[in-house]
Amino acid sequence: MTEHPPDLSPAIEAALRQYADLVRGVGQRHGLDPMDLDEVMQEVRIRLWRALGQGERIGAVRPLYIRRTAVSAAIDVLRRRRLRREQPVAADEEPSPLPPTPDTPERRAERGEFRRRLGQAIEALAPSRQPVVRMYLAGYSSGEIAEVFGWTEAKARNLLYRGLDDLRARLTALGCHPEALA
Amino acid sequence: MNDEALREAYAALLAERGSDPARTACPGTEALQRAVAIRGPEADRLAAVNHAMACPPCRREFELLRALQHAVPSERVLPAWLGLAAAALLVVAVGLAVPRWWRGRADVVRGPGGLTLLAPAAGATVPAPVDLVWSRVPGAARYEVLVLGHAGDTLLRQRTSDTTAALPDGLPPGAPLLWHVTAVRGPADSVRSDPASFTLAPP
Repeated sequence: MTEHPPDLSPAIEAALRQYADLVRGVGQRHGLDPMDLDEVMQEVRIRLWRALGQGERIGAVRPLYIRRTAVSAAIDVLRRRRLRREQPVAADEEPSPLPPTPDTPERRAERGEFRRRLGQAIEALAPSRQPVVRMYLAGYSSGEIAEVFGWTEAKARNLLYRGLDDLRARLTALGCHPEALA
Repeated sequence: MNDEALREAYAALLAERGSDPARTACPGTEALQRAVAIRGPEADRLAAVNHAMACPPCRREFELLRALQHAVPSERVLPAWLGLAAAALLVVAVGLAVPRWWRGRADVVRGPGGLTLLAPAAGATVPAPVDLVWSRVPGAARYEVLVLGHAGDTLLRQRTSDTTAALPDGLPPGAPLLWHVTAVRGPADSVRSDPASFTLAPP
């Protein structure tokens, strides 16, 4: 960042804060990194500052304009990062609800084998079910899956249940049994 | 093989695989944005999301774009003074028009599906110790409570079967804290409250 963050009017700062709070509310469940958001909002400030000049158009800033600016700024921020091949700073690990159980080497090997087969089984799913199952396994609800693809929740649930059934059948066929994860 | 065990194994699988630093197989940021904005052929969007869910750096980008896209601000173009005046008028009108039995409950935050944050009241400044309280959701197996600091840092993440959780001691007063609760009823079935904020009063 070579440019000093500009001061914007209190009205625009309030609109930016409100939008950033909304974004945090949407993204926090799935690990939105606050540092990513801060970087984008800083970029938005700079763009608004440039676009609004000395502030004579302060009253013309609509909230949806801020959102459009933020999405466009995010694409540029991410594109620049990729060009620099910048590795993101690791997000704080969530505390595990239970302490890890000490595994024997055999048990670790079994779990490793199970993970390998899980990867194979997911990759063998139908293209319409695969992302749905992956999203679910990554912690998204059927409502969120429906929202991402613009489907009804009934359709998302249907694909999810079929996908999970298919996944379990494939795991069984690959020799994984329920006790594999006990 | 219950869902929780599958999720844990999947998370471990992704952690084990890591990601390609060159990211040669990753979809472009525009492809991720088209998926988030639900633009373009469904097959392309499915492929982009499928990749993002298996690639930690793309997942992080996807989540940033998704949150930016899905946070829909209310469309107000009033000058600040007019907004304040309108808000003041609204407060007066609500105070006059709302039946007496409803007063005192207007600061409760209700989420979709009926999960309601009960205390602290939205926007309140409260002294420590603080107990977070929310409404029971029929059929909920557990609740997940998340409290964030003003900078978005996680201050409390807790799973409980109860409808209350204690805020940890020692949090700085004066800055607004944001919190919400998710009720998990079963696989693919959860209800999340709307987020609400409150501020810790100085001791």
